[in-house]
Amino acid sequence: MASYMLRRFIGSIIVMWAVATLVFFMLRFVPGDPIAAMLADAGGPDEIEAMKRNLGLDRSLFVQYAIWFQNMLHGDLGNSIYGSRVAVTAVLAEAIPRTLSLSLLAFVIALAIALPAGILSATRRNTATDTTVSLLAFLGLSMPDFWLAILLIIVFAANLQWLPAIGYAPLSDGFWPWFSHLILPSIAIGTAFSAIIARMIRSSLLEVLKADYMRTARAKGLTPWMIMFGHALPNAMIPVITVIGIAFALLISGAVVVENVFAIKGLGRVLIEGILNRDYPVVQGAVLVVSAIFVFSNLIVDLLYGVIDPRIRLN
Amino acid sequence: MKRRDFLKSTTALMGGTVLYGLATPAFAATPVSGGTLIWGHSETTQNLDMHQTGTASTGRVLQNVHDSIVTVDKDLNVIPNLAESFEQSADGLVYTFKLRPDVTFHNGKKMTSADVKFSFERCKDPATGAVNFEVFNAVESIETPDDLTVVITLGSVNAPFLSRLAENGAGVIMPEGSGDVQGTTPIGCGPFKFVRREFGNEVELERFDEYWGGPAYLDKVIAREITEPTVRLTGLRTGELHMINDIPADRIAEIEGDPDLQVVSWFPLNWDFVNFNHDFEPFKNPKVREAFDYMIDKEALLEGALWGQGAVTASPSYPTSASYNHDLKQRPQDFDKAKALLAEAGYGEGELSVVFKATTNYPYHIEAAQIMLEWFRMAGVNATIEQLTWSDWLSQCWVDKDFQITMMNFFTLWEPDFLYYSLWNTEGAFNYRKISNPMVDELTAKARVTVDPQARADIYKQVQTIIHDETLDVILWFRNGTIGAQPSVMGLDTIVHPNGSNLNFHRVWLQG
Repeated sequence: MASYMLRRFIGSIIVMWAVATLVFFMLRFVPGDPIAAMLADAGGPDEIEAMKRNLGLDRSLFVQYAIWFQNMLHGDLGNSIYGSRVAVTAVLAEAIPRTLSLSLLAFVIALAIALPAGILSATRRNTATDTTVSLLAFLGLSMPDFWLAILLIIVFAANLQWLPAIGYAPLSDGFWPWFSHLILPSIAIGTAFSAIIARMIRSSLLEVLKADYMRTARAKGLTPWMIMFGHALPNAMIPVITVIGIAFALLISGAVVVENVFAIKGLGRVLIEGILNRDYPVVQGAVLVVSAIFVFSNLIVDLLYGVIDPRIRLN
Repeated sequence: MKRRDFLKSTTALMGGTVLYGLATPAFAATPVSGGTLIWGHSETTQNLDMHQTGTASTGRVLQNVHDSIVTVDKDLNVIPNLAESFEQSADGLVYTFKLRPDVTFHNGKKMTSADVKFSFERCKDPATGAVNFEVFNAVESIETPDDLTVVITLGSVNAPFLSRLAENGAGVIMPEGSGDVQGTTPIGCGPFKFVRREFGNEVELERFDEYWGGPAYLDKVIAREITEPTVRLTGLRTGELHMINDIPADRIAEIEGDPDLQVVSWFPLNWDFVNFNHDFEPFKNPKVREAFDYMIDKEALLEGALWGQGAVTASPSYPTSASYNHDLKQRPQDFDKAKALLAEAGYGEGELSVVFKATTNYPYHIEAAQIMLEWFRMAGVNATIEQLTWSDWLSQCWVDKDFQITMMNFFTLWEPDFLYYSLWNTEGAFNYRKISNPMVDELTAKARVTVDPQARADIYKQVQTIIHDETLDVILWFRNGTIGAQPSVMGLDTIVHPNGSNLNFHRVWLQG
């Protein structure tokens, strides 16, 4: 098990390196110029050249890459070009808690909707309940998150004025400020996610419920609850967890859009603004973090198999 | 009377900055101190060093942190500010400033002549990378005979020198030795202290009680940087933001119609023009440029792209400045003339193709370009549009000068040297159209050494005539500035300074 974990860990690092390297070169081949974006309506060609020299952007690509990579190994992701002298690590340190808060809350909301919905749908197969749940899931899956976000703002923030429409409050400000700022964006992102999981739980449960050992369990006289939570659900969770791992990507990509709608300066907004301003160091740093989230969430999923299914652990 | 007519009759011709649309209590009530104003800022701040930053977004915030040695009144006359008096020698070479004794910096130090010397020398030093360094090009020496006197000697006459010091870019006074921290934690002597910035998210300012002009009313100003206009509007609607700047033109009517909000507008915020690349073969011929001018109906374009939020003009000079050329008239739309001019230049129907590059950073530019494209086609020109992000526009059009036709806006520069030399002189820092007109070069250089204000204004009027006659660019209009605010925000009539800078929060207060 230990050697398996080590192998997976090293593999994950290699994936992150590959992503970071790819992004480094791709960004520089995209037309556009960070200095031009920064100097905007001020500064002639001489200043632009001087600025390029200052930032080391006049050197060859490979030299720039080598410097960046070496610094990265020392935990230094460089400084933002656009917001001169602001360290990328500082920008990320501010953004990461927001995106993680948002994604985790969206995740919790998604599971809270998906689990009962999936179970209900599977146990009442081909009834009106099943059809309704399937229809809602289909709707949730088809609805673009930014559209749902705007709808939520109109209803809950603008009209009812129950919840704030923009911004973020850290947990240190108290639970309610934090929660009230995040609940609408979390629902916006979590809805599609919950639809995917609910459908997966339904089909996976249906398979399991047909199995012989389910009949045995019923024959033993176990209550429906014990059958569901003791036997059916754990066995049905393996494919569901795989999907959860992959669909976590949805949360992050959803965050990119939804953070803009709710004016939350998370990784998504950092990425978008970094790309628009050709702020190379910021985009590289943000991509590195996003790829780390991807890679490690998949790693965690792999390890979870073992927890849920002892057969995998033994092998 | 339509708003535009009102503007044309009142503002463009007679008065300076005009604010309208204010709720009446803004003038009537007695100001109270206290409260934190949350402002939805339309752009992100960058380098916070007042010398190094050139962008309007950063200047808009730093406005409140800094103060300049002199300033201007509403008629654009240079008046004392941090200097309580100033004198210019008869030959125009020596400037003597007497400083106010009661100016304190945010770090607690009193302002002295040493700080002025430090600030100006820092701006002049090429190593600083100051945007306005050239203001000090002619400066030979800066002497400080005593703590409150500064004597600046120029090597040659530089007529715009004093006026250029009336803006923070060159005229800002920073405490001696503060250069290294200005980029991240600016220190000035303005009405608000810089507290913190979370890059790309928000800037916090706090009242500076020892401000020489009297303390501000607000305890704090928090500038939340929300670049998406719809999100800004939502924040205003839900009451999470006290005010927002830059309302998209098509949404202004909606906010004006909302009894729970106020809209404050002023004129002018900036001006727009259509640019030709003078290196692109067809546009080397003035007839072709003139033909394009005849294709554009400026009034209709202003209505179509900007919803009438501005006033057309043939001169980019500040409307109330002495250099505004009232004799110039925009060319009317005339497709027959346009076609005839193109034919004279050797381009028959369908023989000329152009690509119009417009930036999505100004959504109304995209709309304007789309409208103009139809007119170009009606005049027999094959035209296509290329939409560019802001950084792509800057990189392609501004830096690489790789475009055929584009459009841009500039903040209204009330100082004509800054405007005409930078934009139309062959050597101008903002001449991205590769314009090279010997007459314009000669006149803009001559104006720099002409001290008599009237003679100088006349030179700039000649420059405008050449720009118009040769169609170096097509000047379109002045655009209104707009702010949306909760009714509780008071004193918004003071938010725009006569020199055009905004947003100044010194006299702004919150009711209730």
